[in-house]
Amino acid sequence: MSGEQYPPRPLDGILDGLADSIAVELAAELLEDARSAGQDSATIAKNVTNTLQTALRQFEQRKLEAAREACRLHAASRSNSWDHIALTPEERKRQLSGILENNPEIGAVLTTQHREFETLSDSDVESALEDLAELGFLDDSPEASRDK
Amino acid sequence: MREPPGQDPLQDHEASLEDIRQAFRSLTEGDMLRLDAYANNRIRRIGLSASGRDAHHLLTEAMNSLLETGRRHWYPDKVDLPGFLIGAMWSISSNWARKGARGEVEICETDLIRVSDTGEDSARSRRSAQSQDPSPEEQLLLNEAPTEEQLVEEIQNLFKDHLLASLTIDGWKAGMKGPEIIEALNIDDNEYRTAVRLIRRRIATRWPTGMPYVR
Repeated sequence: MSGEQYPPRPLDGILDGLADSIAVELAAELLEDARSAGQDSATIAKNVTNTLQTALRQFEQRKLEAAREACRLHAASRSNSWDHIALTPEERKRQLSGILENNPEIGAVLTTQHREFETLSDSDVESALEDLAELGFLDDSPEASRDK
Repeated sequence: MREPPGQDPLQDHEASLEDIRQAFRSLTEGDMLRLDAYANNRIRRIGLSASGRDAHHLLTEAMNSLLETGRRHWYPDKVDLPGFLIGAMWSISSNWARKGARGEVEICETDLIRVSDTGEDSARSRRSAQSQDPSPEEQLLLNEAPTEEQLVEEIQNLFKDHLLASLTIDGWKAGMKGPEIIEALNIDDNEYRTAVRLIRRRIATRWPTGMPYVR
């Protein structure tokens, strides 16, 4: 390969010639090189394997750690939001009603999905509140929401 | 089969993490020797600009550059994994040499604690500093090291008995590449390769742990 930006010296030229030959040489010839220099090719190969494997493992660990952290943060934020959902079906319905009164555009979406507010089952109400909690509409306490 | 969103069907397939794992598992002993020899050659080539980094650091950096998002793209249909890593090592070590020539020393990244999960260049732990004088130990080693002229002469003396090898060394010293030497000497590829093998082996026999550094 060529293209170094700094001025090459005669010794650099020799090293570059050697590097070019190493890059394209047959594997069997490289094994012979190592043998003729009295080097233990198995040990060299093992060291290179370890180097590459360590880089790969560390990268995978970093990725896994990042995914765990994202998952932990998501779970924590969801858990905090869900703490604001009222405990009984009646309170939940009142809580949802309060949010919809303050945010009519959400009411429109919700009734498009479920036709009539009055026909929503408790599980529909709970699910809608969970969605709204994740969107930050329940950052106040259930009592505060009801008072709105 | 439909391509995933954003994937241009005319574009080459870029390696996934699973492709990298598989290619790594398929590496042969010969591949490992090639990577080791190339890494050592590049570290020797950039000399003091390596700032204490060795072949292991260079190989690790090349592998990291493959793994970390947005640094280097590997297209397995175009080049195999050893070929990709060799290209990456050349590029990384050349970058170190350029920084060294500007008097900057980059702290070895693989020795730093990483703070970025994506590890992209812009977010990486990277610091530069003005180069420092060699330590007393390094100074002692440098004082005992041959000059470049002495080392080149010693290399040439290894091939006094072999005209083609000697002429090949002359070509390399002048910055010529293989095809240019083949053309200039009017030899074929096999003759050139045979001469180069002889050069590699005699140098490896003379300096089994690598050529000495020069003053």
